[in-house]
Amino acid sequence: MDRQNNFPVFIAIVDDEPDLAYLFRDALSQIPGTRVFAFSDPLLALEHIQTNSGNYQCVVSDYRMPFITGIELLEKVKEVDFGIARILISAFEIQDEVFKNSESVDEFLPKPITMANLIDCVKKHVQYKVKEVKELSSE
Amino acid sequence: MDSLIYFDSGNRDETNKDSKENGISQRLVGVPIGHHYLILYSNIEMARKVYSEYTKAQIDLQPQSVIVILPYYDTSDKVREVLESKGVNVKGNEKEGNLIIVDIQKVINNAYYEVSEVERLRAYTRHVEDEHPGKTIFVIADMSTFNHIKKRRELLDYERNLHKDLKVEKWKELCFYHENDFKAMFTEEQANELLEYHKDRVITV
Repeated sequence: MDRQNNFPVFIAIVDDEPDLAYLFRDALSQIPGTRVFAFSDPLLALEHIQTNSGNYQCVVSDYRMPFITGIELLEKVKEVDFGIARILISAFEIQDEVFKNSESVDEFLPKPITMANLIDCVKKHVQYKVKEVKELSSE
Repeated sequence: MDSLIYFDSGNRDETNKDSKENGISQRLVGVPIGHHYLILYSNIEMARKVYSEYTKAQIDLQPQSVIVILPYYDTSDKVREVLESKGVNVKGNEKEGNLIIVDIQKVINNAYYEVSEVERLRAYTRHVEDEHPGKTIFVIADMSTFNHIKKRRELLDYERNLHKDLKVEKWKELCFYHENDFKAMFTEEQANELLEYHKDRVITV
């Protein structure tokens, strides 16, 4: 499916702490042309991404989560569609070895994260879409 | 701009939750030295309530003991914050050496102990015991980490044999597992074996 023709673009935020997922979702919802989904369960998130892969453009995931890690989730997201930007966030130091064999993470953001940084980071990855939405709305 | 939330809130009985948690912490305080419990938690909030209530009760009862908390999903600072919210004097107890909070990954990744990751937990506890002669050691460890590092077989052996060490050492241990990690880590047969093995020493919250 051609993601460029699907509006709004979907963004997923996955964090096992519901309060943080809500917080990040509310912040990211400020980006025009996007629809933000928050998940506390990585498997539910993956299911939603698989079902709606044509709309997704970015997935932001916490690292330590029950069942699967954020890196494992992002690896699976990459398998679904390598065009989806994959951002990992964590409050913990992550050893280099963890990243060494993984090409599934486009960007790593250490917690605590300011909302402005998170928005900038995600915007960078969905920039093309945002620009396109602005152009459409000005027509 | 609309957003959709998918949260698995579950369908749990919230009746008398606080008294239930207090009951659990009192039960854990009453666990004799040399015993080992499994705590299966459904979400991090439940784990926080149990470990903080228990820590508070244990410190109040035996202020000269040493409580070692090895979190996985919570940062050490988050654990401090949670304990402080329960009225635990975290700074004072840490200064006195009565409270030790370390990310469990730092313990199991510590190559100083030339044993397997799982065995490093035991080695670390012995180290704490050596550092605090004569004191009783209470360990609260989030074993969910072993799901992520794929050391399930070693963990199974650890869980099966821990009581043998606890009987000779002067500590008791509460092994926390997130339910999803527990399910992912062990086959149904292994899980049943562990639960049967621990019998009445399993608490689900």
